[in-house]
Parts: sequence; C-alpha cells; structure tokens
Amino acid sequence: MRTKRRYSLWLSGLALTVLAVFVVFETWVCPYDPLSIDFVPLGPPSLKNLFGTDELGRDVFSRFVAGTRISFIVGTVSVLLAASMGILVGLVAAYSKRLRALLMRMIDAIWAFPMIMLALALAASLEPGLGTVIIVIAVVYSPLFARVVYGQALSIFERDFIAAARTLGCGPVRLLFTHVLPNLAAAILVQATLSVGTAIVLESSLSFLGVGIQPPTPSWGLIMQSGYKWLEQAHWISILPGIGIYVTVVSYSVLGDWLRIVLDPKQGTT
Amino acid sequence: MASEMTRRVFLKGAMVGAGVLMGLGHLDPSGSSSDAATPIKRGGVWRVAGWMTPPTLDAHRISQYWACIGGMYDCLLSTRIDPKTLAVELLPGLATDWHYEKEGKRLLFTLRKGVGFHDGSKFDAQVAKWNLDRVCKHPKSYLKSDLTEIESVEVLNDSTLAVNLRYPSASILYNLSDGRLWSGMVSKAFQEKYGDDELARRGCGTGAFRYKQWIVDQKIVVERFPDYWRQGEDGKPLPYLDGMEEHYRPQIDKAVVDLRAGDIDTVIDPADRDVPTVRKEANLQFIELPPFEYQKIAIGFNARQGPFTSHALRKAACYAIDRERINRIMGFGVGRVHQYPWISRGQPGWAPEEWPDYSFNLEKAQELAKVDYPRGVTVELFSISREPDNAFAQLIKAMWDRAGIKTELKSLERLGWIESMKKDTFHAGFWSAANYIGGFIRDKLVSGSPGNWANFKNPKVDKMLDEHVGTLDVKKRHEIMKDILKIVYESAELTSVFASTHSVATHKKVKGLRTFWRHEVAAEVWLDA
Repeated sequence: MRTKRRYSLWLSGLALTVLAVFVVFETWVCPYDPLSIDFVPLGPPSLKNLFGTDELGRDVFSRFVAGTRISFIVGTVSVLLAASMGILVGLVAAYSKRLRALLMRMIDAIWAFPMIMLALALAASLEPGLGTVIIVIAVVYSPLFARVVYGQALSIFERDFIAAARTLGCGPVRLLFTHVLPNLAAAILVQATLSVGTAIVLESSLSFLGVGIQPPTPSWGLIMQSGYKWLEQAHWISILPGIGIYVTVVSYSVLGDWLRIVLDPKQGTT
Repeated sequence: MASEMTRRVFLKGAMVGAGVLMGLGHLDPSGSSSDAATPIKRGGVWRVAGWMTPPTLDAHRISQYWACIGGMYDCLLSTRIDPKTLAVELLPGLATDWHYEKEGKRLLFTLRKGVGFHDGSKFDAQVAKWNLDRVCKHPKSYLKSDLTEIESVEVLNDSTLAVNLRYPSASILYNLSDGRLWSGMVSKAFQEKYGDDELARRGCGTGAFRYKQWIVDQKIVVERFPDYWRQGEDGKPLPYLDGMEEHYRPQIDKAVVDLRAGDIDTVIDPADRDVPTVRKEANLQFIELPPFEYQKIAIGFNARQGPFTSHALRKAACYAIDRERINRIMGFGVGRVHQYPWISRGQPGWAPEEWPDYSFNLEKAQELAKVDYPRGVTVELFSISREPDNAFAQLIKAMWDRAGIKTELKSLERLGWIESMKKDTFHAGFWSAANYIGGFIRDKLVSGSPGNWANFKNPKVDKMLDEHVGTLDVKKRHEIMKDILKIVYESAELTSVFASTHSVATHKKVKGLRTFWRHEVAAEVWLDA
C-alpha cells in the first residue's frame, strides 16, 4: 500500500512538474504561436502537430501549453483569494459569539447553491474574462475554507495555551493570527491543494459554457468547447485537453492526500 | 492461365461497365437529379425541416420565409429565376397584367378571375385593396416600411386595382411579388369573421396548400387545396403533393441526422460542415438554389471616428483578409469568396469589373497599415457572441494581427452589439448580410436607416439611392446601382468575406425544387417514390 502510494505520488509529482515547466517556460515550450492559424484545420496528431490542429488551423499542443498557464493562474490565485476570505470569515465567526450566527448562515447560504450554478450566475452578471473567473471561483470556494477554519478554530479555542494567551492580555487580532492561525496551517494547506485542482475544473467548465475566459485566449475549457462539435471528425481537440485536466486534478488530489497524511501527527509518515 | 479471358468473364465485365456508364450518364453536375426526364408523380407528404419556427401564419405579420407559408399564399406577382443569368423575372400571379401610368405614379393591376380562398370566399379587387391597406397600415406588418410609396389604393372594378404612388417606384413590384411573400393575399372574410388571432393561428390564403395542423415549436402541417387555380405540367391543378410538413429544428445539424435517418425529406439551409456528409450519402443530394445567398461575414468600418477614419487602414484591413482560407475553413467547400456585400451575381448593379478588388495581399496590407499609423495601431472588432461569429472573429483577428493591425475582440450579446453599432462607438463590426430581390438595398446604405448597420453616410449616395428606387427602366437602374456600389466599395467602409447560396439537403426522391427568391415553391414539388 505504501509502495502504491509512493508510485502515485511520484507520478503526480512528475505530472505537476511537467505542467509547471509549461507554465514557467511557455514561450520556449510552445512550438508555434497559439493564436496563429497556419495549419490545415482538423489535422490529426503528427510529429509536426503533436496534439493535431483545431477547426481554425491552430496547433492544439501550443494552445494546450498556453492554456496551462491560464489554468494555473486561475487555480492558484482564486484559491489564494478564497482562502484569504474564508480564513477571515472563519476566524471571526469562531471568535465572536455575536457575529457567529450571521456569518455562518451567510456561508451556509452560499454553500447551499450548487457550485456550478452559482458560478454561472455570478459570471453571467459580470463581464466575462480572466478577472471575473478568478473572482467567481474565489467567492464560490470561500465557504469551503470558512467552514474548515471555523470548525478547527472552535476546537483550538478550547485549548490551554489560548486561555493562557488571553490571561496574559493578548488582544483578539494577535490571538487569532499569532496563536490560532498557525495551528490551522496544515488543514488550510491540505484544503488549498485539493481545491486548486477542482478550481481548474470549474474554470474549464465556465469557459466551456462561454462565461469564462473568452476566445481567442487559449484555455483548456475553451479548447474542449471548440472541439466538442468535432468529436466525430477530430476527437483529439477535446480529448487531449480533457486528459490534461484529468491528470492535473488527480495529481493535485494525490498531493493533497499525501500532505494530509504527512501533516497529521496521528497518521504522518514521511 | 492468369491472363486468359473467358467469354463469361468478358461478358460480365462488359455488363458491369455498361451499368457504370449508364449510372454516370444520369449524374447531373448541378447536383439535382434529372427531374425533366422523370414523369411527374402525384401524392405523398413532403417533410421539410428548417431552423426557424414562424410566430404566425398571417402572411402580413411574418418577417422571414417558410416553404409551407409560401405554399398557403399567393401574391399579386410571381417570380421565376433564370438559371443561367440568375436574373429575376416578374410573372403574373394573382394579377395577370400590370402597367404604370401618370409617369410612374400609378400602377394598374388586372386581377385574375375565378380565384378563391381556402375558406371559400372570392378573391377580387375589393379584397385585394383590403389586403394592401392592411399591409400598409397594420401595426405588425413587416412590409409596411417597404411600401411607404403607396399613397392610396382604388378599386376601379371587380378585377382592376389602381395603386396611387407618392413617387415612382420600381421596388413595389418586387415587394408585391412571391419573392417577398409578406404581401400574400389573406382572406378578408376569414379575418373579419375570426379576427387577427385566429388568422395568425390558422392562416387563410389562396395558395396550393391550406392549414391542417400546427404544433407550436414542432411542426406545421398543411394539406393540398383542391380548388387551387394554378395548373401543373400534367394539366391538372397544383399542387402535386397531398400535403407537406415543415418541422422546426433549431439545431439544423440535428435535422441532417434526421434526413440521413429518413425521418425528414429535405433540410433547408443545412450547415456547411454537414454538406460533405450529405454528398457522401447515395440517396441524398445537396442542391444550391441561387441567387439568394448569405454573405457570412460583412464587415463595416467606422469612418467617422476611431482608427478606421484612415482610408489607408480600411483598405489595409480589406487586403489583409485571406478570404480563400476563411472560405476553406468555415465554408467547407460549399461557400465561395465574395467581397462585395449586399449584391450578388445576376442582380441589377452587379459589376465587379468596375469595382476595386481587395483580394488578399498581405504585403499591400502591411504597407497600407503603416501609412497613417507607422508605429502600429490597435483596433476593436465587435461581434455577436454566438457561433460561428466567434470563430469568424478569431480568424479575422489572426489575419489583421499579421498585417500589423493589432485587434482586440469585443464579443457582445446581440442587443448589446446592436446598441454599440447604433451608437457609432465601434471601430469595426461584422454581421451576416444577404442580397435583396431586384437589388433594392436602399435601407442598407441610406444614412440613418435602421438596416444600415455600419452607419454608412454619403449624401451623394443617398440621392442616388432615391433615384434608383424611382427608376423604372431596369438597365438604367443597373447603371445607377453599379455607380452607387463603386462609391461604397472605393471608400472601403464595407467588405465581405464569403457567401453561401441558399440551398437544401434533400432525399433524391424530392423533385421540382426551385425558389421564388428565398423560399421553395412548394406547389411544384413532387415525390418520386
């Protein structure tokens, strides 16, 4: 079991490293301009065009590489934003009995909506684009962090060192950010790692539905959307980016799972 | 041994070869089977699919074209298209004769006798007058704005109608023809008895077909009208069919699937990308029915403000478009390159040899782009957020970027796009254009017209357009329109990319297909099954 976990961890690490290389060295990795329409449309994968060409004659591999950067930016920034908002709300709710009910009911109200519907409604009411996608995903994911932080913080508040800090005159801001938050780092990190993968899927979904990243900017979701009309003639346009999304999400899940085990003192083995 | 040819083998081969040659001999390069050679058969129900559903069956209140509605109504004039020249000939319809008087300010129509409506009431001059008044005055009449020249309509006797015009107008004859459909004669008796709502639900005309059933958003079913006045080639009254059904398929590619499965006989205007599939099927065919065509990307440049006030930049943008490539990618071998919006071959005014030629020339485009913007320029291209417009926009952007015209795409919902174009805040925008029967495109070019999407403004052209409408002589009209379009295209404020002719994908058993202009003549269709 341990060996199996190691293999999946290594593979996930390798996949994420490759994707990271795409993100950092996009300009060198892309064989062609992702927007250029120089090739025969709907060409199958070949040595010249590794992932084939799309319906407008663009190299799908170059668009996939360029889309990796978009997806990672969206995934990382939106999760960071969600975590920031969620942590703040969760900590305040855990600390303040007066605000607890109000804040948590707000979180529950957002959480009650199916995620994709809420994201669609928000994205459709704003001008589509990269910024909108990040904001939408951050809003939709913040309840996740708020609930994790709230639950964990409540139990930390019962601990002796918190009582000691209070006795010594520690103010609420210092108490929350110096004493409570560091003890939540592990849980937050695990949640963040797991969320990046699903945030990428949500971005792809929004772009696929036309309310996310707008053409001609390459995004995995947009590439899949442009290809789904051609599944019969040119399945590679949608399937290969789809595999990319799958590998990314699974890799993040495996990584998050590993972090959860490592950082949990009851389970952790290195 | 291997090279021995036995008598049996030779005869077999000869028979196969003869069969192949006979089959090839039946192939019609135009795509339609040899209708003329096959004797007409009566009967059957023709099942048609289109991507639009009509909002009403009242001819005066529709704004598009449907074969079944065209089959329910006749107009005063009919049309026939010359297959070689694509010129539109006006023919007698419910009017057997017409002529102008008073220097073109009065039109006299002699009406056909013995014509009846589907409800049994008679068609005569009183009914015709009532119809024309209704078309000109009904608040929901779509043709109203195209008939502003009509001042009054008089009944001279039971079969003679006089239409008094505010100014001489040549376009009125086309607007009152089957080519425009919306002036179809509606039963006055039916409307007075049942009202507008029932007329909208059931329709009542003099056409070859009458209403049978309408399942909203699914299909309209019509049946043959036994007392129809027109005769077929076999000497018996039209139509040849027992009935027809027009099915609504908002996603027209699904209609092609139904066609291949045998659930539909004909698909109107199939998607270009489905045409190669249709052509591969042995029992299906793809038939083009010119001259009506969709000009898929008609681009308008704002010459009043923004970067495209530069004539050189407008020309650069025109030269930068590789129309052949876009046609290959988006036209799927069905469309053809077409750089002159609002007009097409065979129509009065068509004279490409006298107009500027903006065929693809990247070097010229790059050179012209630098004339007024040596350091480069960024422009915005407005499009409607839908397919295939998004794909068109990306292709044009790629081509303009290559020419040094950096392009930002602005994809808007349709109403937002319309607002931006009307406010004149756009740099460049594109839409789907078309040609118009008789070449009357005044409302597409005259200043301030709602149909003038690019807000093209030229006082000289405005005067010429008015003159064009009032010129009754076809040859003179041709010269005027040719000169109008020369001014328009030399200004490079309008260009287009490729065009697709009105077409059908149909089972080979469907014969007799032709159009009035934009919709099929259902009365003449028959099924060879």
